[in-house]
Amino acid sequence: MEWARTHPYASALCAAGVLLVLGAYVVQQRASQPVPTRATAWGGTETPLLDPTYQPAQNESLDRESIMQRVKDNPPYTYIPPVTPATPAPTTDEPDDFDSFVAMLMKGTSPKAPAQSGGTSTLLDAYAFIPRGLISTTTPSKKLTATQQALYDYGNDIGSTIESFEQQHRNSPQVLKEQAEDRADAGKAAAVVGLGTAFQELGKNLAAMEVVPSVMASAHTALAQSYIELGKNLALIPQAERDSDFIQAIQTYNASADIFTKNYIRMVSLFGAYGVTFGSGDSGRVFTFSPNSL
Amino acid sequence: MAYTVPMRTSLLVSGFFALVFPAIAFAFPFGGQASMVIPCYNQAIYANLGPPIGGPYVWTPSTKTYQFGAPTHGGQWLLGLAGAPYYCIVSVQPVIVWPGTYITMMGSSR
Repeated sequence: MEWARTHPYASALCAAGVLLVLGAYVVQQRASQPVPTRATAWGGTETPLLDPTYQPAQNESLDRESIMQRVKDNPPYTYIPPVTPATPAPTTDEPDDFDSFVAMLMKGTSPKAPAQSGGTSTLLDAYAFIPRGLISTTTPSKKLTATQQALYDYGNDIGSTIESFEQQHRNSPQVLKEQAEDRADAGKAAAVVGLGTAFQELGKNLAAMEVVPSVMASAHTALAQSYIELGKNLALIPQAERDSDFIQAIQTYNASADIFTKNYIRMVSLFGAYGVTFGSGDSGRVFTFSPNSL
Repeated sequence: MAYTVPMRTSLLVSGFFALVFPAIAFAFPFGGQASMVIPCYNQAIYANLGPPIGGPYVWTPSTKTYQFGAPTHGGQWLLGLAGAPYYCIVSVQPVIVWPGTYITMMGSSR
């Protein structure tokens, strides 16, 4: 005890050494695998640290083989081997032709690789896991006739006008609802009248359009006129005081809305009949609908 | 510094407008799940839709209707074009009207 008091650091080192030995003993007792007697590298197999070329015996563990066999039998993916087409696709001699590479990925089958270049087949084999024919990186451009081009330009022109109006009057159902719930309020009545006036202005603007394709002239005039009628009848609704007059004014307005919708559908049908379609980025998208437009 | 400040400002402004006016970019196309479908007195059908572009919409016999027909029950998904406002007359006496947007053409889920 006197020695331990006079040499505190030495006694602390001895205690630490005892704890270290005890800890190593506990770890060895609780280890799931026996501790190797020689130094090895970390990894799945007992590769000696100083001899990385060492190969363990193949029959060392039957369990490991059965696990590997199960993994091989039930892979978590579906391997789609490249299929050689009946007719070879045209290939270019340039190894870095990006367009042809994208075209190969977009096709349902892989083109026949040149015999002298083994790199292309290796590349396609690496992409064999990706489903092909589902990728479209470019929008196919369709050649429009003169009539189609005129209709396309017209649809974007009128679509821009209609879309702009809709953006400015997005809450029109709410305006009508507030007026219907409080018919005595002059401000809410004025809001409905203002909306009706805006519809009439839109109709007049459409009627004043100069560039209208001849095939669309009749439908265009009808649509513009129906916008005007719609606005007129809408502006009359707040003037009705009695319930029966209010219902009658609503039914008159609804009838004009029906006519407007029929004219609108007629215009949409004409676009379809001439094979004119609009993308989600065109202003003419107001004449077509698809999930992409949401 | 001179590059990141305008970039952050433009991102903040565009994010603000995207949150405040989520539907301003597309006026006419609409679509969403119907939370309520009510038949109207004037042979129309009132449907209140949820996101992405929801709100009150009214189907009428003049609506160009594709598969699977007019809205019939809540939970259906509707997609189409909407146009002018329209009144759904729920009751004549007392007067109850529910305005909505006229469904010009649409398709629905089952």
